[in-house]
Amino acid sequence: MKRFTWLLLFACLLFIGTFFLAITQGAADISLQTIKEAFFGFDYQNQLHQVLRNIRLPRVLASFLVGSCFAVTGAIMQGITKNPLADGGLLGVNSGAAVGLAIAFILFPTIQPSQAALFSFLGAFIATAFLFLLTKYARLGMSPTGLILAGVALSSFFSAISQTLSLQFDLNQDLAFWFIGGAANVTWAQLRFVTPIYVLAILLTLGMGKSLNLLSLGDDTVIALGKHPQGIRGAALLVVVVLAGMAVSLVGPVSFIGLMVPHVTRGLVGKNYQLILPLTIIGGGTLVMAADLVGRLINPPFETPFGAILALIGVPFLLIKIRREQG
Amino acid sequence: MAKLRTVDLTVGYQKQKIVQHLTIEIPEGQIIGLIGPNGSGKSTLLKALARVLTPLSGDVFLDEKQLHQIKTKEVAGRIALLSQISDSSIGLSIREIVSYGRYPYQKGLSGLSQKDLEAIEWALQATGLEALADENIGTLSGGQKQRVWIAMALAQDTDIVILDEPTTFLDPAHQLEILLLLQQINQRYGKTIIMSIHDLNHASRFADYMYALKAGMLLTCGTPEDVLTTQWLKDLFDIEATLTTFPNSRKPLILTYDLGAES
Repeated sequence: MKRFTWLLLFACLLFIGTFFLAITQGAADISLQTIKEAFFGFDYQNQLHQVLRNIRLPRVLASFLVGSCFAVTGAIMQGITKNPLADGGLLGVNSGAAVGLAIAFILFPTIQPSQAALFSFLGAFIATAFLFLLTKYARLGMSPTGLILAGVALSSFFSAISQTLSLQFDLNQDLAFWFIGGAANVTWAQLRFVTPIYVLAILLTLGMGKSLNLLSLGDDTVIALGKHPQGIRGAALLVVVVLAGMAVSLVGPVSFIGLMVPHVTRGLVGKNYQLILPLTIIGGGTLVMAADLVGRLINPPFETPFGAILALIGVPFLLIKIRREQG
Repeated sequence: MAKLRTVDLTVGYQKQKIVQHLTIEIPEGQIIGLIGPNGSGKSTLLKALARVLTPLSGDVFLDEKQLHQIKTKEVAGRIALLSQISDSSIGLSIREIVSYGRYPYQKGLSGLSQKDLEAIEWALQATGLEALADENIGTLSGGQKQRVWIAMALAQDTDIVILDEPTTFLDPAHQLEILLLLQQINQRYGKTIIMSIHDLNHASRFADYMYALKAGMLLTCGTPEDVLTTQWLKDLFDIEATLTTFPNSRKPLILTYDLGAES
């Protein structure tokens, strides 16, 4: 417990440090002095103030938000499937949300971002329902590899749908603009819409630690203790749907965060979701904030998408992990 | 006290019937041993008795009420189940795990009450785990881990405790330790203990009453003297057993056994 307090403190410091780097560094360097001024004496004429308030701050906040969403959905899915390889990206939840977005653009070409988010939730919900049925019929005894195979199939299936749709309806421009830009295109309006949902979902998540721990004792034990394992799974998946759908509606589907961050936190605090969940939220947010910052610094003023940077770390990470799981 | 009985109980998974047409009345306040070959339906029966599995037909009654009509949470306050495979990779302290036994009594978001805390301390004490209470379960030996799960079941404060092969995977000393602990719990607190067990001599020594299950059917039941006879063992396991009695009691002891002629 003491160890956890230190880790939490460390994660918070890391977050604060990364946050300041992320808002000061980039194509335009902004000094701490300017930041202070921009907050406390905003000047419409000052270009740096404008950059900070309207471009950099929302993108940094958005990158934290999506990072924590993707990371914690990974942790939750690992908890309910008892599979350390579960992740919204690998299991198709994120690509399901992307299909939802594509459909939103087809039906309502001038859709508002907040309304598009609802379609994203719906897509994530359908993908999760598929996954839930798959695991249900495999009596949850599905092996880690089996679940991943099913998830990869599901994920490819949904990706194929959104690609077909975007070719057929000429959505490439819209979707590419949406996804490739990463956190850079996120506006204050979008953030205002998602923040209350985010806060609520994160609070619910933090309350789920004990139930997820209980699930790891096995379904029979859960029932014998008077709880309903499928009820716990259903509630947790609902939170997953909201978090994943929200994150995808902001930056598109990004994989590997949900795999890497919970794995590292599990290694640090052990298999206790009451500790894993808060650390994963801060850790995931900080990681994506850092990846987004690196993406801006590699080749300014051009941007490297943070998804690409994360995949660069994530793919070898996954391969090593699969090797370990089998070993 | 809680009275558990089954009437024409058939239970299984999907369409596969594992236990068929079983009618038994479990004696209260005793240690009940469930024996039978692998795949004879012992675990399935125990799960049905704990309401983890719903009967395909027939009924389980708890105090004359149909068990599957009673709420999960209420059942959890009457019957505790220790299932066979408990994942000990969880990163929790012993006290935290034992506190999970209080789940049936918790309402909404409220924390542990004074009564919960007392029950947890009592369970830790009864299983001799007080000194280790703040250790992580991962650091314990197999026998100690099993004690933790038993402590969790005790904290549940039920009249009936069901255990699925509580001594499997333990060395002889730890097996005996667990069985002595269960005997102590039965004698001191009057709890009915129902357990499946493979070691027939342990079953003979510790059980007051036994059920012998073969291919999902009840072959015979009674005291160890009734059940552990050369003939019944031949019918049950297809073994030729040489029997004697324990030096300090009249309970049967299997000296040695050979495979039956048909094998």
